[in-house]
Amino acid sequence: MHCPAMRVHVEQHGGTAAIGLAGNVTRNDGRELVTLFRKLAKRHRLRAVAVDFADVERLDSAGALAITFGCQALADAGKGCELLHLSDPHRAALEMFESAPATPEPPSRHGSVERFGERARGAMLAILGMIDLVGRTVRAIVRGLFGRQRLEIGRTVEQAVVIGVDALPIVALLGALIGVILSFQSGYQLQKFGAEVYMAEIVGLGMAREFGAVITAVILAGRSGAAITAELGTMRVNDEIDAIESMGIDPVGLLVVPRVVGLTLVQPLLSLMSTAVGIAAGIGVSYMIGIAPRAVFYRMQEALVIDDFALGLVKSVLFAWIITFTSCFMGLRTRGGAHGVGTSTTRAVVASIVLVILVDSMVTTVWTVTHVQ
Amino acid sequence: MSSELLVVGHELRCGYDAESVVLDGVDIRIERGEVVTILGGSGSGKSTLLKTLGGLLPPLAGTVELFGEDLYAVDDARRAELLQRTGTLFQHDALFGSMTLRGNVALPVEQLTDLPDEIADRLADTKLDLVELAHLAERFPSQVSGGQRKRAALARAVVLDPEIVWCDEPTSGLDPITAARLDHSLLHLRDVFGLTIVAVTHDVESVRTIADRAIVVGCGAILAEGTVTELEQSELAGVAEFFHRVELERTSWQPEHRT
Repeated sequence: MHCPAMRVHVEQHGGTAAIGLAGNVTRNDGRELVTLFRKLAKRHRLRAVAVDFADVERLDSAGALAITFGCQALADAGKGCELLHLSDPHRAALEMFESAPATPEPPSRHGSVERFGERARGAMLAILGMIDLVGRTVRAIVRGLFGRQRLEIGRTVEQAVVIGVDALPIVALLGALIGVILSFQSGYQLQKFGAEVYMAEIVGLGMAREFGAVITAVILAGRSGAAITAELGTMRVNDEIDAIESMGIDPVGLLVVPRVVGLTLVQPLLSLMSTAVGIAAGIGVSYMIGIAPRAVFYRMQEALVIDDFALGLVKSVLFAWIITFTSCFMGLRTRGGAHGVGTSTTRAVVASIVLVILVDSMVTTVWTVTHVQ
Repeated sequence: MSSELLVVGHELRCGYDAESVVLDGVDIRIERGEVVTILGGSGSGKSTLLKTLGGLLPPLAGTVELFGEDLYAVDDARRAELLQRTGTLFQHDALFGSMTLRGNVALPVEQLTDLPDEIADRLADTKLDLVELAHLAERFPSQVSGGQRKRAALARAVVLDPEIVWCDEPTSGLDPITAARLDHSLLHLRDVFGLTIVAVTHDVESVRTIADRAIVVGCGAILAEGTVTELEQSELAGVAEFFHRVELERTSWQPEHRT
């Protein structure tokens, strides 16, 4: 078979128009038919339209629906519409739309107050859920340490390797680039005042206290945090987590604890490495802009104390917790298939980075207030 | 019933590569308006055969003629045109999780036609109504049951009135009542639109309900074909064994469920 295209013949005698259809009336003809009927509906002198199906071979449901819409347009304009010489299949196709419900109007949207309330409630529930997850994780770790629950040492090492070792090159690269940027920006400005040697403080303190930890956290939030959320989210939508629970296994102990402990172990080490590489890169740049690297190095030795590195390490541990708990939480609450996994992953990365910067600013404020005389 | 041949598979060798041939030397002919079921045990190659006939898996040897044209010899654009005249109901429904049921069903209309949006939505709603899901049109696939997802996937498969619908295990994972409703939906759509249906299944009860003709595959070939009654009475090795195993399964668990 296939497939004579639709042919349309229209004649008008007085107040009546005759539409002769022939061939296959299909989805390809729907728009043309609707347009034709709407034009006819606008003719003032026209009172009725007769549509002749005698030469129609195939009428698919899109074609039938277009004719139904067309007849409705005529009826709305107060004109009659008669369908002639319908075969049984054609009649069945048209009747399908008589009994089908019209597309309902979309539900009315809430006002701004309701939307704000819904969001606030959602945020509150998320905070409570996060607190619950932290509590369950701490409990699982404590139970593991006291031998009352299996401690997933193998999985923890595996996570530490996946999260930490595999991220080494990118963390080192970005640490070095931040060191280069800090050196260039501070070195040139300080040279104007003859104070170029103080770039050692800016680069050294900046990397040790701030950028080593923050840049590592941002990378791990985007790289490892997204992977955690996507993996747990996929497990959730595939019912794998329900399967774990149904076996009486604690999913937090099996899935969350190894990731939290793994990242807590490796993130300080990555931060330290990022700091070291950034400082080395900064010293290298000082040579390029005409500042004696040896002077910068000695100045750093005087300026940097162990507390500066400790601050960076404390921050990196906090950031590790923020990233893993946020990512695990978003992954575990995923709903709705592939779309849900994507949404959760995006939220996890954005929330992790925002929380990292927020906590960093809070810790820096407290540190500065308590340590600067 | 017309005797127009819609699908002709000739000397097909089916599989994913030369090392994993699952069917060889298969000849198959499907006429317009038929409901043909392909039966067989797990791993017998019935789904592979369906994919080969349906344009998703090129045969390792042989030809597939769809609507009189060699499906794997024509260029990509022509193959797409031929495949647009078919619809597929996948085993795991393959609905898009980010779209509502209406969005899923309307997608082929929006992508393949220039129909106005209101007609696309109404068409989707009508097809959802045919499978008794119009009231769930605004729901997402994750918010409905497995049987409802299957029926929504069926509505999507038939939204543009394909001439052939390929069904891969349409009733798998469904309870008997839901499975019967899906079978009813298939027959209803066949009656309304004159569909040709090719279904892969191991659900003999479903085959009894819908099939004009059944094909049993096993041991890398077509073992037999005919009406279900003929096949159930067949003495052929493999065929008799298949129905015997099915009967054994049925009688071994049914009394337990009835008590």
